[in-house]
Amino acid sequence: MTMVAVNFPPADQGFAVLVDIDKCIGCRACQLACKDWNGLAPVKTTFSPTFTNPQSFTAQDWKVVFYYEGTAKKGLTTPAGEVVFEQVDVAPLPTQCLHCAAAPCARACPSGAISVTPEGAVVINKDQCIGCGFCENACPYDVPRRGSDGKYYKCTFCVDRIQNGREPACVEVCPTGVFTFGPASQIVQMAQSEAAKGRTVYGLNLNPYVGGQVRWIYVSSDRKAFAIKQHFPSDAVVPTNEAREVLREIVPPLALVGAVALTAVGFASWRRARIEEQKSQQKQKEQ
Amino acid sequence: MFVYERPLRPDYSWDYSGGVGAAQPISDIEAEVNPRIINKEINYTMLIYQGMYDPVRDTFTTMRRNNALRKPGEIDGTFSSIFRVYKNWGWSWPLNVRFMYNYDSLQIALGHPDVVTAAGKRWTVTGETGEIIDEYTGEYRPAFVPGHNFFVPKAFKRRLSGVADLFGGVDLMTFIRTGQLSFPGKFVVETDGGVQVLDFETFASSTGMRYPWANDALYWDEETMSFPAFLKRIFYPGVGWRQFKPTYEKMRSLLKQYYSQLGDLKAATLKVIQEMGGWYKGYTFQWPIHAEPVEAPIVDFAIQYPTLAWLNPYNLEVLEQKPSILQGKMVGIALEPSELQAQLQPLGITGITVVMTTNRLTETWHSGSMNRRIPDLVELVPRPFVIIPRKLAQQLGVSTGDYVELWTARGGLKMRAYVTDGEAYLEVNGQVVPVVNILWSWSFEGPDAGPSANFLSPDVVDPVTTIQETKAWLAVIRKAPSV
Repeated sequence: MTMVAVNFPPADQGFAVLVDIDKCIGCRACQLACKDWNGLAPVKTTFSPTFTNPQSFTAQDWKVVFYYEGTAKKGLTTPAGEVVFEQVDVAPLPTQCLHCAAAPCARACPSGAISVTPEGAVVINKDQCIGCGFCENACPYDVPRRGSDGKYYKCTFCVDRIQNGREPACVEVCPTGVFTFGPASQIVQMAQSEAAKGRTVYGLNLNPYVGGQVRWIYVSSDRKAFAIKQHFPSDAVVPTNEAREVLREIVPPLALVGAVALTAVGFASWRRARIEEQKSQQKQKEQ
Repeated sequence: MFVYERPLRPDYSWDYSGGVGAAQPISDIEAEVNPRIINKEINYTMLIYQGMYDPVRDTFTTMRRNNALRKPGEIDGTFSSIFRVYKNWGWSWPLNVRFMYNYDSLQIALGHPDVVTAAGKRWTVTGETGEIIDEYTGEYRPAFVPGHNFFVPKAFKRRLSGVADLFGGVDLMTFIRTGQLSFPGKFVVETDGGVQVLDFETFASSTGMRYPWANDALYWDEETMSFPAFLKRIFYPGVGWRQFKPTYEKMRSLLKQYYSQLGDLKAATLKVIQEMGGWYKGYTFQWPIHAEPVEAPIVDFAIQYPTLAWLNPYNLEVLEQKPSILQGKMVGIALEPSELQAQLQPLGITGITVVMTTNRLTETWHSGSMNRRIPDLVELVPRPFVIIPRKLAQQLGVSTGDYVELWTARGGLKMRAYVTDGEAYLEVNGQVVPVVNILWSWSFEGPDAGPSANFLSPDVVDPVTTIQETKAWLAVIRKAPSV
């Protein structure tokens, strides 16, 4: 029983993005384009041990490129045969709200501030946000952030641009074509064919908690798959919130039964007291 | 109209609007400042980038995306198929050569030279040749073919083919901007009867060269190997490698001898210069040789491949510590690790000797003069840091984010360490050489001021380009005793 009803468009409708991290060079043009389009102020940061800066999302940083270091096997064909060697590789991973097919944040929001547009964008309406933080607890990807005004902020999928026939700002600015933006049905099909080729895909076949799928689907070759494995939870679920959602379905009918039972107990107790009273009154008369 | 009589139009030279054909702008901003026109201009003005635009077929070769290997018989076809090099994917300088100094790999792999047919001729090649547009046919032909000589000056090649001034012919600025080929200039041609001034059509019909403008910046001619060329060679300055080689060998053996006598590379170098009347005397930069940096980590190599730096008189002043007021101050250079350690000992600084190099950040603008002033970019990389290999960090007892001190013969800097497996920890000549990498993007000004890598790089310049030597030098690294 949600407090405010949310209508999720089907996962194969609206829009989606395929993120091919093999093509990412880590220039962070997307991170800056996001700040630029959304008018987000610069944040004071400090040295980052991973090069990721700011080190996670902030109310002013809705898109952050994370950097992961790992080893990758590489092959080199020479006249003497193929030489395979291991090499350290840095895999940049551009991240933002993944726009879950059935966004748990929208389900958790008690004030109806989080709506899902027909395009599939999960958007926080600042005017309705009461700053309770339920969305932050519900998010399996740790995305929403409380701003200095107490309200919550996150990526909007640039729904203002999409509704005017443009791609999201980060998609448009990328110099190497990491992001493929398009109708969800088409993007999901692309992701499935990449998976069939043996590439690592994240975003399909997820927990029902996020609707089984997200709208920003990540794909990579074996060389950079370590970034996806390190960054994204293999099971996209927040157990405490999932339990809360289950309890929320069970508790109201139980409460009714409880109320009836309590009333019955109360009545029985009153009746017993009344009988006792009558008995003592009768005794007094007899004396 | 001759080349030097063209009107100077600085306003026009800043106009990068428009564009036709492959240079057609694809967006509003490109219509205003068109990167394709800039690309074409760089093609003609920067020697090493010649070939990234193909004017005959009007294509940007850097934008080629053909993932098929070339077949034997084509230019670099055998090379491409044996070594699996995708030469039709993009382009690289010089002249689409993908591996430098790769003149005989094919001969070694095949056991015999390969034959290529291109531009209506057969070419015998032994390695990766790259390609250049033939000025007679407009087709591609191999560029680095055996017999190509580094010691033949470009001017000499032009004189031999009878053309004194090619730039006088085509109006390149108009061609770059509009795609229109016009020849307002004349071709100055030297014949037996003297110097003649011809228009393009006469020039083309008499020489057969219809595409000189496609190949304008670079001009090589097989005529250079002909008998008349042999006769003319004596009138051109510059000696051959064979004449220079004994001088080179003598310089190296003297350096080795004096180093073993004196035990000091600086003193040995000065003694060689004094004895031979100069450093690398007679070297004309025509022959590619390897030279170590000024501050080399391995002394054996510094003697075997002596630095070229002392050819430059300014560099020599640094070596000799001139003016005298600088003597004993931390402004000099340390030619070998032991010299640097001796310089730092009186200051109580000991640590691990490393090779230092510089790098830029992806979002940097050159020295950082722009990006350290833009708050959004400062947010991305807020403070200077030095990249160090994990093995070295373990030896120093440093983890990511800890402060380290970097000391050179020019002084020291303190900054945070960024520890990674991705930085080099080399073993060269049986000796361990850790590499640390300092980022370039900081200086005095802006919201994010910080120590500049230029404080540490040696005060010597490349003898030809006078670019400061910033790619390898010696430093001592230690964990910062205080934060």
